[in-house]
Parts: sequence; structure tokens; C-alpha cells
Amino acid sequence: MILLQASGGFFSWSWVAGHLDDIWARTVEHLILTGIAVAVGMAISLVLSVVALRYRWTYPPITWFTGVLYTIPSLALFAFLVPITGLSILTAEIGLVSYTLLILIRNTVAGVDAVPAATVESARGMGYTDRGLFFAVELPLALPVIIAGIRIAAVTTIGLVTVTALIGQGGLGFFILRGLSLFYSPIGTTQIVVGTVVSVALAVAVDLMLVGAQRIATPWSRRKAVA
Amino acid sequence: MIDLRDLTKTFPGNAEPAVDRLDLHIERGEVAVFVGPSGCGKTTTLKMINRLIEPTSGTIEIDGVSVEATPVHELRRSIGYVIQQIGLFPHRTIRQNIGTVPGLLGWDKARISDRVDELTELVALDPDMLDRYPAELSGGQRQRVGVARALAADPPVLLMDEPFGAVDPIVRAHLQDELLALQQRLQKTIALVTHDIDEAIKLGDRVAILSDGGHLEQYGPPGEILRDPANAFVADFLGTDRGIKRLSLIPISDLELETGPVVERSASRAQAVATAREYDTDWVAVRDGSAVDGWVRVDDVPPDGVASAQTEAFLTRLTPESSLKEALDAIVSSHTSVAGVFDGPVMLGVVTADAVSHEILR
Repeated sequence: MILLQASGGFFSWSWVAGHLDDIWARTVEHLILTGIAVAVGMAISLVLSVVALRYRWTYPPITWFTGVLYTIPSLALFAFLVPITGLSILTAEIGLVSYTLLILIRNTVAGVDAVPAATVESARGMGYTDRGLFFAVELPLALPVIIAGIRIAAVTTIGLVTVTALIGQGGLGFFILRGLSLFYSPIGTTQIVVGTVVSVALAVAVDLMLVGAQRIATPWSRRKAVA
Repeated sequence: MIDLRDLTKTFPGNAEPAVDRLDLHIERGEVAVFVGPSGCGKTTTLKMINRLIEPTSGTIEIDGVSVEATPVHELRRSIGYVIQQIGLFPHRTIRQNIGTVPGLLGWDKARISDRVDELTELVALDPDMLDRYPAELSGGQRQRVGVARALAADPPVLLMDEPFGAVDPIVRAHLQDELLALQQRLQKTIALVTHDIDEAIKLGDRVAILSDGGHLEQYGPPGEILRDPANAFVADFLGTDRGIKRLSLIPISDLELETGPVVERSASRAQAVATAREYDTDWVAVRDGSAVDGWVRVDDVPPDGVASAQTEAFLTRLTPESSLKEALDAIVSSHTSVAGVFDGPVMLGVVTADAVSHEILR
């Protein structure tokens, strides 16, 4: 504290004003890293969920494996991957995608399982094929639960992206990492605060956007019986 | 139309079959009701027709063609299916729900839309409901949508699994009447499952009574089963009020009506007394031309004749289409111990308790 005061406060608005372009570029990078991770995670999860739903015995091993991935500390995972895939976006995304799988698969399977048996039976009885049933009935009805999973995955990923600064990526994490190296200066703390605050704001914004997307995608879930 | 031959289903892990060598023929345009206690295999039998359950052995033919001859999803699109929980799609509007099978069959949008409007009218659904979601409808409305959806592609065969089981008794009776009226117009071949013997009697052209383990105890028109139960199981299942249940199937028009104690408005008191005595009652109906005004107790007829008597209206006005059960109900709950049968204002005659009991014993 004494040191911070001695160097004249710990937040420099002038640094922010002078680096708006930089902050914007890192924010976009952050969003891209997150977007790729969630999109690829969703694609892999959808495939693995279909497998788990179709062949029920595969569900425990799938959740076990993705559960193991989820528990690996992110730092350790990146350290392990760098010798193989280098300081690249690929390394970052492998890690980020890994962490979305458990949540996305569990929510997709739970969402499909929660579709009322009577709805499934009547759909079959009317002549839906297995594929038609999945895409036209089960998946849309599971959407609220699946989107709940996507929200958690997206918010978690936005936080995790900052860690990838250590392998030369990082989006807003870049500021946090550089700020740490300049920690005893106002310019350092300013960058830590900017990286953190914008990343949190991003998480909140993305979460709200997904809530909005769910409301638009599932209009039926808002309308309830009129007494 | 539908032939079940030697149909057997044994579920894995069960020693006893759920349906045991069932042979049954359902005529085109008839309603066949499968009824029995839970575990009698009635739902299993129904679900084997649209192959939601595959039989262990035996065959099912619709119109002489094995149900295994067509791909299963095509077979199901040609058979209407209604279940107790209805199973409407919560994420689709009523309009989309009704249009499900036409959509699967690849009809164009305009044709589907026309068909949905037609069905909405057919099942007497408020068109305002079409753009709502199932959660916004009452149980009875949802059931109507379920029936409309099953009829959407005009399938010749309809399977109904406890279709009215989830609605309250008043709505249920109403929906049953509507189904009968609909069937009069559409002449579908319907297989319907219920555990309610009264529903079976009311709806079935033929009733199949099944016992535990999928044994067919009796199959025939409800009147025949009620008059002549094949065995103790059937008699027991029909219940002790079998005679009264049968009355619900016989229309008054099957009876020869008695004229009843009717006098003209201009009759004297003495004539009224004589007419009442003739029919062993203490009242007379008063007629003015062909219309009947009501009835009056002979003790209340003033000395100057029927003309100045205060008549009371008949509480229940039965028609020739009313059942003998309704007639009996009118008889026991009226002051006059008979039920008047009317065609508009014209009294055709009366039904007496004797006439009803004579019919039961026939």
C-alpha cells in the first residue's frame, strides 16, 4: 500500500484512454477464443450425447472421461500440451474445449431424458423415425436444459481464456499477465483491473445474451395455462 | 379389417405371456373396445397393432396386409393414435400439433392448413386455440386436439389407449358422446382400450373382455355380452347392475308404448277418475289437441271438470331415442311412476316400470 501510494495511486485512467484500441482488440480475441471453444465443444458434445443416448452403456465412460478432463488443473493441461502442439491457438482450444464437454454432455442427456415419455410415445406412434424424433421433438424440448449448460460452459470458458495468456494467447488475460509483471506500478494494477473487469463484464453480457436467445428459441416455455 | 391371429407376447424375464394366443377380428367401420383389469394385456395388444410392441409370435393383418409388410414409420403414419396422456408436443402450437402427420407425409403448407381448419371444426375446437401452446389449454380441449391430430391424415384405422382416462367424469361423458357422433360421420375402424366397463358398453360396437395374462373371455356386441355373459369372470366383471347397464343400450323405440292415462282438456271429473283407475294411477295427463299440457292429480281436479284444473309440467321429457335406462331413471324419480315419451309437444305414450322390467327379462 505504501508503495502504491508512493507511486501516485493504483489506477491510471490515462493508460486506459491511451490503449482503447488495444483493449478492444484483446476483447475481440477473447470472444473469438471463447466462441470457438464453445462451438467446438457443442459439436463434440452433441455427437457424444447422441452416442450416449443411443447406446446407454457408453454414458458412464463418457462422463467419466470428460469428468477427468474437467478435473485436470488448466495450468497442468497447458504445460502438458505445449511440447506437443506448441504455444498455439490449438493448444489453447484443446484445453478450453475439454472443460466444456462434461457440462454440455450432461445437460444434453439430462434434457433429452426429461422429455415426457408420453410425448415420445405419441411421436413414435405417429410415425417419426428415430432421427426425426431426436431433431424435431427431443432436442427442441431439451433446449432449455441444454442452453442452461451452454451458459455455464460459456461463462466458465470466458474465465479460463485468461489463463491461456500463459501460452501466448489469452485475450484479456494478456493484460492481467502483463500487469502482474508490472505489479508495483499503477500501469500494472490498471492493466490487471482492466483485464479482470472487462472479462467479467463479457461473461455477464454473454450470459444475458444466452438467456435472451433461450427466450426466443423456446417461446412455449414462457406461456403457461390461463386459469 | 383388422385381424389378430394367434397373437402372443411374452416380455423378456416374464414366465407368463402378457397376451396369450389371441384371435380377434375387427370389422371395418366398427368400434372394438378392449376392456379388462390392469395387467390383462389390453394396452399391449393395442400397441402391437402399430408395432410399438413387437409380438413374440402370431400375426396382425390390416386389410389383409401384414403390418410387417411396410416400414414401421410408414405403417404408423397410416394409423391414428391417441393415448391417455395425449402426448401433444409442448413446443408446438395447436395448429402445428394437428398438422404433424400430414407434415411427415410431406403435404404442402396450404393443404395442411386447410386440413387443420377442417379438423378444428370437426372436433368442435375454438379456432382461437390454434395459435396457442398445449400448456395453455384445458384437459378437455387437449383431448380434442389429440383426436384431431390422430385424424389429420384421414387414416382408416384409429387406435385409442384410454383416451378419456385423464379428464373429469363430466367432460369424459361429453367427449364420449362427441366420439360417437364423429364415428357416425367418419366410420373409422377403431380399436379402443379402457378399464371402464361402462365406457366399453357405451362406445363399443363390440367389446372384448380380457382377463389376466391376455386371455380373451368374451367378444361380442355389448348387448349380447350383458344378456348372456360367457362365464363367471365376465359376469363378475360386468357387475351386479348388469340388467340396468343393458337398459342403457335399448332405445325406448324398441318398446310398444302404452297410451297412458290421458284425458282431453274438455273431460269431466268423472272421466278423469275413470281413466286414472284404468291405469291404476292417481293422476291423468291433460291433452289439448295433440299437445300435452301436463298432468294433474285426480283428487285435485275441480268438480266442474279438467278444464279449470291446474296442471303441472312433466319434469323429464324422453324421446323415442332415449334409452330404457333413462326411462327407468325418470320413472323412479317422478311423481307419476311413469315416464312420458314425447315428440316435440306431442305425447307418444308412456313407459311403465312393468314394461322396463319385462324388457330386462326378455
